Amino acid sequence: MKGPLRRTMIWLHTWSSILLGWLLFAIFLTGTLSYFRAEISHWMTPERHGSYLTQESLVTAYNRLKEVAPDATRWDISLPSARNNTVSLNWQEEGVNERRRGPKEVLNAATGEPINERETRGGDFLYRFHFELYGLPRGFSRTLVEIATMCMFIALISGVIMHRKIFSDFFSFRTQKRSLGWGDAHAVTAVLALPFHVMITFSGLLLLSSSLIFWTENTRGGGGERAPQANQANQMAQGGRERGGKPPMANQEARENRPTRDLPPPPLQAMLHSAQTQLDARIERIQIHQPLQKGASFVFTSAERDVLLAERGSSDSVTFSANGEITGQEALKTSEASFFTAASGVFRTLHEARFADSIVRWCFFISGVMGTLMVGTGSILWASKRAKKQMGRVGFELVNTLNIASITGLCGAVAVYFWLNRLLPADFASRQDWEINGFFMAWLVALVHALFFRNRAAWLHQLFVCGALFMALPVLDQLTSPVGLWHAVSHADALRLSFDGMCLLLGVLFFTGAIYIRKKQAIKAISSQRRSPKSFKKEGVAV
Amino acid sequence: MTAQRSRVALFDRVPILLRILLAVVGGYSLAAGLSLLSAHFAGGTEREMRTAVHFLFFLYYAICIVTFFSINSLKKAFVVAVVVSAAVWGIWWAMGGQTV
Repeated sequence: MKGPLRRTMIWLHTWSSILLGWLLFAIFLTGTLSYFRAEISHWMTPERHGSYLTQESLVTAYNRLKEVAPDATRWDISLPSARNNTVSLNWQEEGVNERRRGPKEVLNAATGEPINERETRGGDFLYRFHFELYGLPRGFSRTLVEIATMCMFIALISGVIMHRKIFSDFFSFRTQKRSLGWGDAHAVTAVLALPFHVMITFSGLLLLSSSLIFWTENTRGGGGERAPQANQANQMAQGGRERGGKPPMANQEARENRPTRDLPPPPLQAMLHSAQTQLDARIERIQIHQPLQKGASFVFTSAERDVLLAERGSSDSVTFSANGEITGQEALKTSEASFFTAASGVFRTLHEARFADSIVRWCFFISGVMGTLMVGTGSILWASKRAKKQMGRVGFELVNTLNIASITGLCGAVAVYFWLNRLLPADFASRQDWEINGFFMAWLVALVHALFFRNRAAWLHQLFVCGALFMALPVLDQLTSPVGLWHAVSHADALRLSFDGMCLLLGVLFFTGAIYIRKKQAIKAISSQRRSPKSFKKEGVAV
Repeated sequence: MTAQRSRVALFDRVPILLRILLAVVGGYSLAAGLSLLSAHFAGGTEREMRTAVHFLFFLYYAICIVTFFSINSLKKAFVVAVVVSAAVWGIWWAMGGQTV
């Protein structure tokens, strides 16, 4: 540990990142994919593919709720948006805890027919996996992820300190010498998106902070201001609400104003048009309180959010009475919190990209890909630097095997997860579990394969398999979706088309990687043969 | 001979293990103390102070780890860790010693 600061930082950078590098790669990859979890879920639910927004979607949803939930105290309608092309209905039955989600139904926005969706975790599995892993106790897995994130944070800081010529190196990419090539790729992916890496790592630490900071009151389950009893007392004082139940007066009113079907239908289209004009935004959510009653109120809310720090529960909304008159309008409130509360809130919002439109989301996705590549190339660099000296040693072979299994193996497992979603019958018992089981089985197969072919052949095989799996996904989509890809093109189903396009691109990238390795392998073999025909047989070099 | 070599190799690694222990455990303790103190000085409601602790802890922890690895001599690093921690926790105790 003695020596100049730079050498110490290199040591810290290497060891803080390699020990949990494989876990970090998995967290980065699944986390990056989570930026498009709605799109992934859409693709993995082909029953939704025939749905598209029409002028009548709102009226159809209203009529459906009239049929299925006439006695409900509240209706929620989510109209198709940029990231969802169906209509979601949700209603709250009388006397049921308001905090609990009521019954839900998904409608085809074009036909108004209920969609019987297949059982799948969709993009949510990848999202949950990136901070809770799978099948492990929640506290343990979150702590493990938090420790890995802390290691990443240390690696970032030490990486910046150790890099003397960060800007001049940024403009050089030396592909001739292999190890320098990997080093450059690692540095470029790190530096290009450095602010994103710092933001995503630090905000990740904040999001799971309770796992490492277990001695503050709220993480110990203690009182403070968030004590459940205090909250309950506050609620009781404010409106007499207990455990989400309705205020006594409201219950009495509700009983007196029983729903009636004789009321004239509300002017929903006019309300929608008026709300969109008032807010100058697309309306995505409509909440109807006391539906089918004289005193019903219609709250039209815009889901477009372009501020980083909004007060919890506030939104841009317009409220109408049953006859279509505007009775209130609310604007999104920016929070007036202390510096640390505001900074934490901003970091959390940034991490989850809650404010992001599609362009920002894509920027975050590309930066996430950079982060994934940074972790992957870092692990490969470790092995490639030590290949000559340490090949054959247990530690080196273990790292090499885990590199292959965690990088190409995980990518292949994700592809298998998508394939199983379409290959397992829609009514297959516990298909949701089998999709996930298939994901882990594919990953295990990749690990075993890497163990036996942990030289170039393993990378080559796995890259080819990944390429083939991803490239064939659009074909599988065409064959197994109730509506073909032409329907997606004609109805501008960007969610599905972008997923298929991205799979094609990934497939091409994996194939390119495989072809590049094969070429390098061939050149190496020829030069080795020229040098010494005998030594070629013995040679086996890690990537 | 081999056993002797491995014993020597293990002995060589002890300072590194101690340094890691110092950075991880000592850094944690110091970062906790510093974040509690900072939150106390920043003031605000209890919830705001708690948020400040959660926010600052990771910054301090990272700085502590990097610093404890940067100090050339292990002895010096140990002395710095003990003295600064004692000072920080002492001030915290003198100020009432409250958690958030």
